[in-house]
Amino acid sequence: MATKEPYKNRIELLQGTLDMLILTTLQWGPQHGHGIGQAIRAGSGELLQVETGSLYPALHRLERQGWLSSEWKVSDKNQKAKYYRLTAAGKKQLFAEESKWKRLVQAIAGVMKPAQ
Amino acid sequence: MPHHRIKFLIRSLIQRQRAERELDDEIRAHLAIDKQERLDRGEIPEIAEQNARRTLGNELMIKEVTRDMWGWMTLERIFRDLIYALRQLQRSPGFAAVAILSLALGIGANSAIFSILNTLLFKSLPVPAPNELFVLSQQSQLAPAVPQRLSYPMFLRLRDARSGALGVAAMSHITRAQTTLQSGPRLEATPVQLVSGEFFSVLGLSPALGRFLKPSDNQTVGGHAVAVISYGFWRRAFAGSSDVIGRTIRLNGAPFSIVGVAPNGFRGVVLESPTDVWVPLMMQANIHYSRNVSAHEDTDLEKPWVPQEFVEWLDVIVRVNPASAAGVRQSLNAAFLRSLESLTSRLDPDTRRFFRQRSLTLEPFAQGSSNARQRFTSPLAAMMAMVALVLLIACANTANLLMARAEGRRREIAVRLSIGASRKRLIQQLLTESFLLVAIAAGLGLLLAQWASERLVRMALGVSGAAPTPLLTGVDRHVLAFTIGLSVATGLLFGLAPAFRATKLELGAVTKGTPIGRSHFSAAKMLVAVQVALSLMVVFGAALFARSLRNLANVELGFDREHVLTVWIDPRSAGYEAAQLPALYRRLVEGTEAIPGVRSAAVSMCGLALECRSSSGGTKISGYQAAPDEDVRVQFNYVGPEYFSTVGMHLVNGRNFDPRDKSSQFVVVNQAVVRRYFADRSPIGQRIGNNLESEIIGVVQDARVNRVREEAVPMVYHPLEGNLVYAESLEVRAVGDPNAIAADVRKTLNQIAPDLPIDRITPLALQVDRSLNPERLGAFVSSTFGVLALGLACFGLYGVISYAVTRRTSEIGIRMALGARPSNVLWTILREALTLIALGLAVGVPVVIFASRSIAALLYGIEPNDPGTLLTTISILTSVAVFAALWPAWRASRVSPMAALRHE
Repeated sequence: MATKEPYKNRIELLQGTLDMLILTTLQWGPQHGHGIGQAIRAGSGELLQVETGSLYPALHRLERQGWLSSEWKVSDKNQKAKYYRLTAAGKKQLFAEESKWKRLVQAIAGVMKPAQ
Repeated sequence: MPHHRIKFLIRSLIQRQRAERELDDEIRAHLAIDKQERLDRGEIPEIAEQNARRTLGNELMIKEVTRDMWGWMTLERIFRDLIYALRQLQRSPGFAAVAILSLALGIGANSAIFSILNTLLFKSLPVPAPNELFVLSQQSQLAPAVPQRLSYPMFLRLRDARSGALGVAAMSHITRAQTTLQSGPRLEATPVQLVSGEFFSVLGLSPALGRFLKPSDNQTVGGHAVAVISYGFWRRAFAGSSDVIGRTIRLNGAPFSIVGVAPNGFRGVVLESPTDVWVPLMMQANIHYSRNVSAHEDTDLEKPWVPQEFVEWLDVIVRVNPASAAGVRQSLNAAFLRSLESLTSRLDPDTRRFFRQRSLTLEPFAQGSSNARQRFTSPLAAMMAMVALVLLIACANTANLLMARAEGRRREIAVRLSIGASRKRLIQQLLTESFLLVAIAAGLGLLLAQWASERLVRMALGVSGAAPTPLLTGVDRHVLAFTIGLSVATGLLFGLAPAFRATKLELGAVTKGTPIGRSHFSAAKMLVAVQVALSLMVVFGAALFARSLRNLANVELGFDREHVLTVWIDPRSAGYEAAQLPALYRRLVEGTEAIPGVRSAAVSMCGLALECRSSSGGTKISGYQAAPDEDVRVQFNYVGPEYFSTVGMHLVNGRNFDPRDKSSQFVVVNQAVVRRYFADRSPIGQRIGNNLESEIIGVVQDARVNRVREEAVPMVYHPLEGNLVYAESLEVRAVGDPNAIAADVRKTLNQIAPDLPIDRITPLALQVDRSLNPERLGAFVSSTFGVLALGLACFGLYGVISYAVTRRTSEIGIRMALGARPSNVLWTILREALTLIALGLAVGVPVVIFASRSIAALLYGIEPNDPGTLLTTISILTSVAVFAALWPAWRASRVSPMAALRHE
């Protein structure tokens, strides 16, 4: 039952950024959990592997915060799945996170440059 | 739980189930999609299924963590923790039983004592706005205390004084009256109270049936034969019949017509004396009421008391808006002083001084009046402290058990921590378990309290057989609040530290299974030392109370308690005229003395060991100069010719009464009078009395006639012969065991005086014994809890030593393999126990010496830090504790080296 690395660490590692990635993914339309995970993986060139154990808690948390809404739909491959959709508040949140992220990247880049 | 809360709980449980199903569906959909994609990529079905599952990870964990994101589950989570905790307890029933039982005893004992204190101190009368009620009480600069009562004319003046009070009412004490109904047998003596017409309206009650007494029911002396009866009496004596109004009831022979029934739950205003009948004050002489009276100057107690200025027999209660209480007190006191001024102007200066230094104050009456309150409050407070200590010991015990158990669950806890459960969550869960324990214990404790408090009250007040319990101590909302508060505190006390400790783990150490850290063990040892210290306090307290009771039981009383039987008589209630008394007494004495096995008999006004306390102030004694502020007050009794030899009081000087001594021309005094007023010179021939009217002819030895623990007070004995005094006791001296003649005495007296009802015949020893009820109660409760405390502490010690033995099994095995003898091992283990005991004693002894001073006032004939008792306590405690440690130590000494090595 014990895993090599505790889940908890992974959640903490990705917290915030995972939220942002999910919100970004959903900009292009509703998607179910599996699809979101795949989209992030594909988008990152297979670098970011989102654990299901982090993904679903994050989805439920974001929904609870009102940034996502969800409904059950049948996919084009005729499979029933729970689709998440960005709400208006979610869009606002995405915007805020993006700008925060950009500032963070700039700041870190600024710090890292002299050392190179 | 309020209705909407329950609805919320149910709704959230339903919602949660729906969400739970949805989560299942969502994960299932995830798997299905993943599998489908893999199939599309060309994986064979079995592999695709497996891979999908593998990439998903631990499904249960995912759900668990996801569920944690739902914020609305607090209630539900508590519910789940409870189920989990229940399962944990089920898994170790032995632990659960010990913990619950010891906590239940601790909580139950605390609640029981508290519920009695609650009844005595905090429970309000069942009337509207009880905090508006006050009783008039008198202050005096003179010692000893002045009578607290007032005369009827004084009551009228206070009532009409326009003091701003909302109502003023007067009442007598409770007296027991021989009662007969219109038809049917004589009932047991019924508690009756005389009240003014304002009584029920001041209390603000409404009758259950009929009407209450009104001011118009209290106008002319002897003219208002109406009565109100209690709800309980109505049910008992009239089977709750609705046509009770207008029926006749006879009290000490006088007929009364019932006009009303008091509301259910109202048992009068005297806590431990539930009242069954109320009649107007005007009927005092008709029912021969003659209790608790102070009579001064030109009074005649045989005439009706109502019109007499100097017969003081009433308590006055007032209803006042608490905000204006100070003003009301002032105007009442002013009215009181004004009337005293004019009433006493013609009296001699000494008496005037006695009256005029009095003043009135208002005492809260919301809880009614009670003798038990003053008698039992401090013993109960001491017991409360003691049972609190027992609860602390039980807490320490439970904490120890919990810690030991947490050790056993270390691996489980470590795993749960490592898979992501937060420490906060785990602490919550462990605390839930503690609170479940404490909740079960509190439930049991409340049942115990309900049962025990009634037992204790009956024991304290000496109620036996089928007689109803006079004090209702049931669990009310105060007791409930106390118990819940206590339980929460208890749960936190024993649960918090183990929970924090258990979840503070070095993960690596645990999963590798390294030996248990020293830290738990030293904490457990500390707790055991604390238990030893606490139980020392309880056991020492118990020993002090027990020795003090023994001292009291063996005190030299100054009369012979072994051979005397007291027959309680009440010729006044039976309707005897004063003039008939001498003949009655002669008949009683002669008839009794004719019974075989009776040595002698004598009638006296006051019985022994019943705190009769009839006393007279303003006494003058020839040759004694009273200090300016001193009121020479002596207690007195009227006794028949053979009284002293009958009760076994020895004459130490002078002579006894002889038949020629009529009236109070000659009196006998006790040694206390000689010591106090004659500086040990012979008083024979000296004079004593308010007007020096009596000559002292003899000195009798001191006797503790009031209470066992009260030194003999100055006492004057008057001859009954020639004085028309209503007596309350017939003392009978038996040749052998007084119990053996009781039946004969009763039979004979019923023949001699069939119209003199005899309710009680008690051996003097029993009478004395009953007066020691508070002390006996203290000794009983404290020794019960002493034993319990000792048991719990030993259990704790046993647990820790057993644990130490288990922990060191391999070490012991190696030692034995290297040649250690069993006795060495035994001693090593015992030494560990002794160290703990010594540690506990080192803390406990100084504390106990300091703390025991607080019960000094409750002890008799023993110092609160008595070294002998302390040493005995220490040795009892040590030997019992060593005995508890002996079994595990013996087990250790029998460890076989091979088994020990395999143990790892």
